[in-house]
Amino acid sequence: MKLFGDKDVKRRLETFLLFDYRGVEKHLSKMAQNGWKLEKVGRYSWKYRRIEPADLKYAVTYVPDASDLNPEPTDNQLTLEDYCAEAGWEKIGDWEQMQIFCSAEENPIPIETDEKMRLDVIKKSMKKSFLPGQIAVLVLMFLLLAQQVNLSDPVEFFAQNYKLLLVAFMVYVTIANIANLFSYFRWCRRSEKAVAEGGTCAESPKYQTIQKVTLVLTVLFLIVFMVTFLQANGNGAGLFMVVYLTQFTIMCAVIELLQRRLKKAGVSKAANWIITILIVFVLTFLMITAVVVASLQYDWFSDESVAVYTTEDGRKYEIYRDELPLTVQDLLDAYHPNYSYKADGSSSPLMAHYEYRQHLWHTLGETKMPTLEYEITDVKMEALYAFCLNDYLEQDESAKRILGDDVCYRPVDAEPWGADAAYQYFHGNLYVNEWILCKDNRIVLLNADWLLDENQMAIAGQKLLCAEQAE
Amino acid sequence: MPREKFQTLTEPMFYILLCLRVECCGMDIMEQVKQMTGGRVTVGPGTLYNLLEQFVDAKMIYETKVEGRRRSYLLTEKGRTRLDEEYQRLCAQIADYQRYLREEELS
Repeated sequence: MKLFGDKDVKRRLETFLLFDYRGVEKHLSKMAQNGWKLEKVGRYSWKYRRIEPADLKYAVTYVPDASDLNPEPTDNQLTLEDYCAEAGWEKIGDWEQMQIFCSAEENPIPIETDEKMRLDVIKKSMKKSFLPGQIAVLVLMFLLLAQQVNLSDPVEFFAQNYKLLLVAFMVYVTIANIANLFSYFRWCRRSEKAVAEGGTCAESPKYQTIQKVTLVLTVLFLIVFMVTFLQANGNGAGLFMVVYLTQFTIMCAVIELLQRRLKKAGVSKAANWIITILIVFVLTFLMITAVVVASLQYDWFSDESVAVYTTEDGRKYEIYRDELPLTVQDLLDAYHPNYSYKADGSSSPLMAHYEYRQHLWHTLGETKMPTLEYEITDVKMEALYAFCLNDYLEQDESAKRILGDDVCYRPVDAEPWGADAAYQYFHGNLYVNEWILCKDNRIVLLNADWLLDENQMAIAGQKLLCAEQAE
Repeated sequence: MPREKFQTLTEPMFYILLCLRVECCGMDIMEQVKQMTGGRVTVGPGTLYNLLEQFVDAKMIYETKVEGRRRSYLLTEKGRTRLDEEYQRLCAQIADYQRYLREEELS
């Protein structure tokens, strides 16, 4: 994948798997035939210089104790380099344990003339960086997935596009990672068999395809994620994201610079790793703290359309004026100019979930006004309906801890609501003014601070069970 | 039970050990093997480097001197024994060949 290039220099983002020596050899020979010779192997890109198209031979071998973080090439690398130079091979660069050589001779002695030995060295080398790296990413992905897939609140999770997108991407990265490991072990098995039969190590299949798809998907994901995150969280989130990404880019550059400096200063590989990890921890902590503090300090997430109500004693309250499908006034003769009407929620291809609240910030001595709160959830994927309804009906542990074991929703007559099913919240034999109503693919959780009569139930049922929700 | 390493020597192994009957620099072995075998056997630099390391680990050869990055090696008693065993094995193979195939053809 070409990044950019001037007339004589080209930098490419290469996506080889570390053990794919054949892929690298073939690719570099082809590049030379097209007039580009590999000059330097970088962490993020490989640098090529323009040459006259030539039939250059490339050979890739491995040195298990080599590493990008070693301050100097190891003795083994230097010895191998000398032996290869003697055989007409020029060292071009290295990538972790991989050593890349080039020869302009027509028939140079191959660097590896014993396939069993080649395979053993590759396997030994992969244990040093490829396997630990892949396994570390896998563990990280599992941890992030466990953190992101919040099934204790499925409704909130399934209704958020950007969360679903994030999880889908993490699942893809996990699968791609497993595929990489699977490819490696399959290649080892096939190579062992071929070598035992007197052949050469196995041909490399299209490993790069997975890597390239991952790269393209990563870019696409970042773009789509940004858009959905902005849609869900407003302009403040955009600023949050831009600042966060800028900080992340700066952190990557700082780490790159730091590792280079440490290498130059002769710091050992182990010390380089420890210092890098410590710096990453500290920088990540500082970065997140700075963004969160700045977002709170400068109110990035505040909704400027919200009116602020100041009481006589100087306290300030936000008053929302959102459109609500059901208001207190639909059910009672109760009105106050400072009532706040708040609607909040999100919708994804799997679920739409909105929460509504009408209430009044009371000032001292003022007559208490009724409060109405409800959630409307439309389950778009039928298979998730029972799961979500159960989540609504089951009491969480914290409620049981506070109220005891005898709190539950009990089925009640659904007819007054015009619903398919209705449940009311009970604490022992005492009912609470909280209901769960079900109709078609919709689940409504309604909470009022008064007991609704049948007439009010009919109005509430009609408005809540048939209301159009934002998509 | 895993097979003991170097129980059977491949051709490159055999010739590398044979070169090291006298003190020899690692880098010169490639050329020596080529000459000894008339170009029939070639030892690549990567293979040579790894085999020398493994022979040292198996105490079949030892490092005699290091001059800059040039390292010289010499066969140990253990290495000599393995080379002799390999020779005996090859002789036995040839003898079997002669006994069964040649004699059958002659008779």
